Amino acid sequence: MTDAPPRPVRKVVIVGRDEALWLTAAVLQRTFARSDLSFTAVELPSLLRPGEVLPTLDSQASFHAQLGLEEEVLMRALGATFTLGQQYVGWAKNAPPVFVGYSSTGVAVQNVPFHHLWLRARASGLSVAYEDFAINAACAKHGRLLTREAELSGFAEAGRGYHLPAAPYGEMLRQVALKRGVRHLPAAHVSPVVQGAQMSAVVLSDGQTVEGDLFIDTTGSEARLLSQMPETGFTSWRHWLPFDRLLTSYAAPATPLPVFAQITAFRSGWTGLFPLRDYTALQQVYTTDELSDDEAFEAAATVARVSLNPQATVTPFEAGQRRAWSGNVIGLGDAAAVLDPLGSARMPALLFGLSHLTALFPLDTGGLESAVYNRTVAQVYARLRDAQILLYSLNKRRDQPVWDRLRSQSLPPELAYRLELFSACGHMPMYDEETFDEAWWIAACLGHGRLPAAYDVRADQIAEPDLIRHFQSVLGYVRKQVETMPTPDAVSRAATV
Amino acid sequence: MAPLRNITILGGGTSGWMAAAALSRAFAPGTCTIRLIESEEIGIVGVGEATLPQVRDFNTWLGLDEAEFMRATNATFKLGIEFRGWGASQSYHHPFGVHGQSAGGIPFHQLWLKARTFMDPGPIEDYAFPIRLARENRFDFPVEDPKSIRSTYDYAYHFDAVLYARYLRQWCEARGVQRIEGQVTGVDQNAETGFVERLTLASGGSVDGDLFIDCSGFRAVIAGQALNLGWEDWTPWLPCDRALAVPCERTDDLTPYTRATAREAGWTWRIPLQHRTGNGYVFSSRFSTEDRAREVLLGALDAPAQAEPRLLRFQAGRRTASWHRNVIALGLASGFLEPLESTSIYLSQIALTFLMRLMPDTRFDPALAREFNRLIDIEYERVRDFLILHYHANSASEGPLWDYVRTMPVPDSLREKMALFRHRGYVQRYKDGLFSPASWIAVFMGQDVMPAAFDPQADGLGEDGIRDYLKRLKRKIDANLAVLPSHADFVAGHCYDPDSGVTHD
Repeated sequence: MTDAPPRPVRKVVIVGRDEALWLTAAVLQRTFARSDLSFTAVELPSLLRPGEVLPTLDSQASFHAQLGLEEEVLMRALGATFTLGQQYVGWAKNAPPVFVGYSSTGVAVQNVPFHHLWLRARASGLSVAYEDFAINAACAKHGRLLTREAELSGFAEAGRGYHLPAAPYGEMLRQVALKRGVRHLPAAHVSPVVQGAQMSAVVLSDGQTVEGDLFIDTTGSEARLLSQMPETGFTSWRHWLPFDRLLTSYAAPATPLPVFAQITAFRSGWTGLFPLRDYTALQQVYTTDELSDDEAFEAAATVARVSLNPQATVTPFEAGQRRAWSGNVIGLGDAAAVLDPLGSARMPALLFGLSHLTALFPLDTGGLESAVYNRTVAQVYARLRDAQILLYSLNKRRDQPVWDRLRSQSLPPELAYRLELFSACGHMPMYDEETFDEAWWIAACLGHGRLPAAYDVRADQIAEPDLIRHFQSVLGYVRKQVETMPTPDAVSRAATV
Repeated sequence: MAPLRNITILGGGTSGWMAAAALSRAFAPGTCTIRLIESEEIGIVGVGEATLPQVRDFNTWLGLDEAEFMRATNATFKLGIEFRGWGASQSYHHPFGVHGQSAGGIPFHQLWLKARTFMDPGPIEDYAFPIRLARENRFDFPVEDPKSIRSTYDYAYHFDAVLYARYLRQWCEARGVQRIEGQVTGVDQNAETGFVERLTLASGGSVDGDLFIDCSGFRAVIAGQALNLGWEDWTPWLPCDRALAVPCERTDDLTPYTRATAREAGWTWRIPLQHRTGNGYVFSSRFSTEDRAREVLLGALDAPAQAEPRLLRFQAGRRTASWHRNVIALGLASGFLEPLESTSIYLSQIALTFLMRLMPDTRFDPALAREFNRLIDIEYERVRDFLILHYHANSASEGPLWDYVRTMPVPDSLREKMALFRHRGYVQRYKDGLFSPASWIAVFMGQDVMPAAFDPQADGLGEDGIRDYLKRLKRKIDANLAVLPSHADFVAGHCYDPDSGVTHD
């Protein structure tokens, strides 16, 4: 596979920018601090846009713990906020918003999963929405934060993500990495030196040559290093994910502070509002076929009903992926897979690539680990992509070309398979490498109105009065928990004192 | 929806009665007729059965009382399997548990591998609580507190499978399952749809059903003989195709583990029950005559035999579709993998778990069967790879069988796994299917598939850190071990029945 015999990995060069660069540098330096490895971070100019936000899932917290970043400090110093999920507005005309949160929904009875019970009750007239049985959705609706003090045992599994302001977050990670001893070389641009199937060095804009045994590409979608390696061509997902522009801007902070992101569909795309302590971040995703950038800005303000800062940035993107590990170069984040921003999937994709790299950190330049690494991360990225395609496909915005197409297009085989089964019997198959759990997939389907033709026959065996009592007790529990939870403003105030 | 009202199970072995029990537990009383056809004339496979911890979930779900069930089935506890003669050490254990105890997310064997570069840490098995427990013939229940070393293992049972089937039968009949004595002579299918409509019996009667579950063992009366569903042969990887089974008298020490000893043309099992010991020799007819196999088996017994050895024939492989239209093949009718890792009851159980999740109504949506078969394939293939590993990586045994398995090409999935382990001790975790990284690590290390290097994450603890960690771990294991009772005493106190185990032959 390689031209020269493998040599041990000693010098690791990470080239990139912003949170992807510094998260990678900080985590690797922390994990391998006592190993015979040196880490150099070559920092390219930032591509962050004013008001940019990094929405995360709950997996972020364990990375922070590993780096010794305390949650309270994060909230206080950065003005980050908690998020319990996403509220989808306008996914169907004249339908109420749909909340898809990071928690379980309801409680099983005699091993019969709750959603089957709900389907049965719905067939006999129950009108309570599925999401009303979910603790995260209920907290979000009532403006309450679900804190660690909540009594969840036996009733619910719940998580929460963050909305992180990108610039200060990246800066904080940089400090952590540098304090831990990562060597820092800023550069305006770099030129990779590739010999055969191996990268030997990068030449920085100032002429300096930085040699390495292993190169990690966190340069973003241009994949400045990885794209120079054999067999790393880009596989586009545009036929499934047609949006190609991301508009970023911001508005005044919201009061009271919502504990969720609001995603509002409009004719040519969607507009997302991500509340932060000091501002409200806005992301708008759309297609250039339908909207010029100026029109997009106007649409954003109209759709989001906020007064936007005119300093808006437009970034073109194309969803897709490339082989993440080729020779001695490994791409992380957008360098390996560009995901549509829907569903906050970008940050978890970066994290998974990084944690899997930590577990398989190559011992030498032979890259024996690359096959299993590539297969695993490709599955992770594809399942994240499927989750996004699912959300898009569940829209009911009729007579709007983009949305009609998203609703009727043929799906990737793994997604088509799981949807077909779910539609038949209400069972959601799960694959090996899933970021979103079964509860999420079911909540997304049921919330957006994809109702199975049948439910588990065992649900019929529970006596009606017992079932009603069960529903009442779940709703009662949810109500009681919500009442005891604080508002995010109260938590934020307490943290600032 | 038109729910199932009538389910017919063919075959009353362990898997047949497990199916009956699971279904009668799943359907509310009176909502579905469940019938099981069995014949006293047909023998049941299983002399002393070793299980996996998952069987406890099944029993718990049914609401069985553990002590009562153990008394009724002549059962003992099982902490894992001792493999003799498969590696240079002559004996290693594959425990229901882990080596070591969590150390900041770094796998224990990596710390041990690193330790070997600067000290002599001793055998890795010294750091596995369940292995130490097993080697000293002690037993007690694990605890839940994750800080305790006694939380690092799980347990299963050895029992008499015939008694287990009988125990489940009583449980089922008390809940309305109807047992029909008879031999099936015909399978009637609908001419248009191919759906099975009824089974005709030798007595002249017939039994109809919405759903048929074929638990008729290797004969696969419905799935094989009538529907002729395809069979994938795995003999090239797993050449053993015969077993001789014989019970012998119990020895004084009651081992809390199964023993699997490599022999010239296969391996012998030793399964301790309360009153006797089950033994068997799994061998390949390509590499041994039956007479020679009988000699090997009888020579391997550690107490006088109680009967003449019984011969069983089989073929490693699985049915390409276990669920077809309104027929589901379960147990040996659906696939066979030799009992080297005690997986046979598990494979019936997991199929029932999938069926519970994918319970059809009378429309039998093909999407359900497709998903069922997909999941079953994953289960069988993962067990298959793990079994092949034992043979392929056997570094100790001699003879033509062993020369064959050591040099045969193995599935790509296994070859990659072995290469990664040899390179750096890495084992990829998978979501579905048996055998966690801990199991793979135990067998790799036990059979001398040694990593050339360790995972650099193990550097995180530092040399002094590792030295100190290993010392404390060993002390913790010693201290906890000393206070636990012997397996024999524990069984006597918990579930011993002086009258059980003599009720059949």
